[in-house]
Amino acid sequence: MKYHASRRVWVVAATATVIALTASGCGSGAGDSDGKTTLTVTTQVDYGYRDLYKEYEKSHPGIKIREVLVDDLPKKLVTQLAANRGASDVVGLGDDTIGEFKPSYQRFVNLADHGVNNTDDPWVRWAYDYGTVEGGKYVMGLRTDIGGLGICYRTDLFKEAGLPTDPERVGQLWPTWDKFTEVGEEFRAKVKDASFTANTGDIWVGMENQHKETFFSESDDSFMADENSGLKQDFLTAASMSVRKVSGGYPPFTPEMANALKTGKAATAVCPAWKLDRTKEASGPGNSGKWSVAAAPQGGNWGGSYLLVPKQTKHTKEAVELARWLTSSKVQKRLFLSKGYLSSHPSVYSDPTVQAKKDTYFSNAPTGKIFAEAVDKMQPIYRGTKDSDVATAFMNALLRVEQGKQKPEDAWSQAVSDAEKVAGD
Amino acid sequence: MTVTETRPGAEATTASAPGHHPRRRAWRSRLTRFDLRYTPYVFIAPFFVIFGVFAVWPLLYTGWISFHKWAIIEGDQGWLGLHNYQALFADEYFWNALLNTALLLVLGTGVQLAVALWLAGVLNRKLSASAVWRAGVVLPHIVSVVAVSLVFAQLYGFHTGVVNDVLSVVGIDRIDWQASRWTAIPAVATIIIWRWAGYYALIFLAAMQGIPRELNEAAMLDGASRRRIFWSITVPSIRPTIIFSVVMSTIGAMQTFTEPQLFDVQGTDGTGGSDRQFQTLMMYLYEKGFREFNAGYAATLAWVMFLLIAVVSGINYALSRRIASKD
Repeated sequence: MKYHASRRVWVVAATATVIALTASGCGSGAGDSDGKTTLTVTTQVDYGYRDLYKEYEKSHPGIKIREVLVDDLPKKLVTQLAANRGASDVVGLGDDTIGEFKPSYQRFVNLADHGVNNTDDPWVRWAYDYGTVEGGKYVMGLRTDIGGLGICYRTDLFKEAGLPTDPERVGQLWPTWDKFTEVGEEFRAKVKDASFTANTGDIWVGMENQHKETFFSESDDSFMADENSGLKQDFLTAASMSVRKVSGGYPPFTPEMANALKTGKAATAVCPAWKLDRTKEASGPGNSGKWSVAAAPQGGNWGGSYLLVPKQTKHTKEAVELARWLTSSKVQKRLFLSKGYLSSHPSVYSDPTVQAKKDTYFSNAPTGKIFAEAVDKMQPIYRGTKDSDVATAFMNALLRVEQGKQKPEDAWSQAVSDAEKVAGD
Repeated sequence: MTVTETRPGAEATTASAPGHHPRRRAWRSRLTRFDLRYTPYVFIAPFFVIFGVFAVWPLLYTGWISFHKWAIIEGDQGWLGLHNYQALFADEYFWNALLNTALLLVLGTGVQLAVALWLAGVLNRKLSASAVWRAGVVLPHIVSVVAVSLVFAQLYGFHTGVVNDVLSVVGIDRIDWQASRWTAIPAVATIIIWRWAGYYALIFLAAMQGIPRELNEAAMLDGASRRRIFWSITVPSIRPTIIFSVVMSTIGAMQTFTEPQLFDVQGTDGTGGSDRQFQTLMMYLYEKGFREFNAGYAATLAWVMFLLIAVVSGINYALSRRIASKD
């Protein structure tokens, strides 16, 4: 009797253990139960792909697409790559985070092996190149949009300050960031209850993206922010906007910032193309026609993303095909016309229908033309593998100046030493 | 035996080994002894297997990682010995995070347990609709910590926060809560107190309900005040519960992460303010491990935290034992 009882116990115990182990061990592996291949696409923010997925499923009857938005995607992806399971079939990484994954590029499919190159349907050279390693032989990611760089401004507040409101003339007010600051002081003298620009963090990101090299040197990826005098000058200019009360100190990407845009507490905000949609959303339909867009000082680019295919996917061919389609000029042109996301294909942003695009919310400003010109002016930026790690040190430094905790010079010194520490690891 | 032989499994055994009865009996009795001695261990084995796989092994493995230069994705980058530990103890940001964690421990946990004790004392009186009140105090705890933290971060907003609006009515200038340690830490502490006071109040209340009524009645007959009864009867009577709560909330407080992390306007970078004003140990671990992908250093921090928590919990255990037992 007992023998049997205990055998049952053994079985139960073993089963329980096995169940516990397997249940906790595997969480991935979407079942393709209905004979369809399910492709999961994970991005950090909404890339505006929802309608495109539906269309793709229609034209590819064997494919189902699952959209996942993950707020801290880079962190999740790191653990998924380390564990070699759980990653999506296609992942989107911003141009500020893809660099961190470059040392581990072999965890991603080499898209060059699947016929991707930059001759048919070419991307703008620098945007394509930044998604590659091994001198272009290993294509790690495909460029989605680019940001360009513009300045959103409130025409009503500009009028109140006696400034011009026409995009062309507004753009001419500030050929440089120093001039931008001067206009800001002029504005402050006339308008009491609004600040000229929302914050210095966004300004800094815009400036920083205008340098060929920023924190790391192109030749050997060594830390060079401490010797980059042009970068320092820009930092001090941005910080001085806090000291000279040109900036309102509404922190980037916060409800406070959204509120400032909506209530007209800030007259300008840095606007890459992808931010137009967000600015619109933050300030609401009631402010339609009060905003406009002008060229940013010195042109440039902020933002844009890449689609990558982790090697652990079980559907390499299908995933590559989808990523290729989503980043093609045909699709990107549609995304510009519907969402305002600027294409990374020169064939699109120099297209007459794109150039002629005007946005009624932004007082019919010629957004297509403004952003295309910003991109034309820009030079390719070199980004180190630890770029996004050290970037935080500089954002924090500007915040310290904004909070009145530090003088601009001291903030720069601390930023450099903080960044050096991170870069040295 | 006969019962056994009617079972299908036993029949198979009998069929395969006819005529070996004595040997089989010896085998069986050995099995029975084995069964008596070891079956209890089998019963509890699943726990230890799971505990070993998911607690002990990761703990040891983390220790192993801490002696290496270790990148999260690519793994081992070379043996470092104690270098990570030396670097950590020389790292001013580690000490800064430790100070912040200690402040939150004192402000958050200390106040939270005091509030919980007071709440439990109030709820223990005869109240109408007592179930409603009891459910009410635990409500903040079941709301998602992310939602609570985000709401509080907005309440403490510099330009548009309600807290500053109220203060400005009283004539106090708007405070940039995130800007300095001495405003940020108390603000974060309020989130923690808000979330946990009700939870511990219920635990205290449950213990208080177990105190014999006669004790209170006798004290009341002797003319003891409500406060006197509370401190001389109620608190000593629930001593084990207080000790348990102090230890548990200390462990929790040492690992405080979500509340200060989401209090940070700069988002998920984990630096806890422009000058690390409210970066806790756990946030620093996250910054090192998941922003810089420096798993070796993060593992070192994890082990130091483990030891710190053990020591602080021990001290708190001893202290709360002494305090709760003074009569």
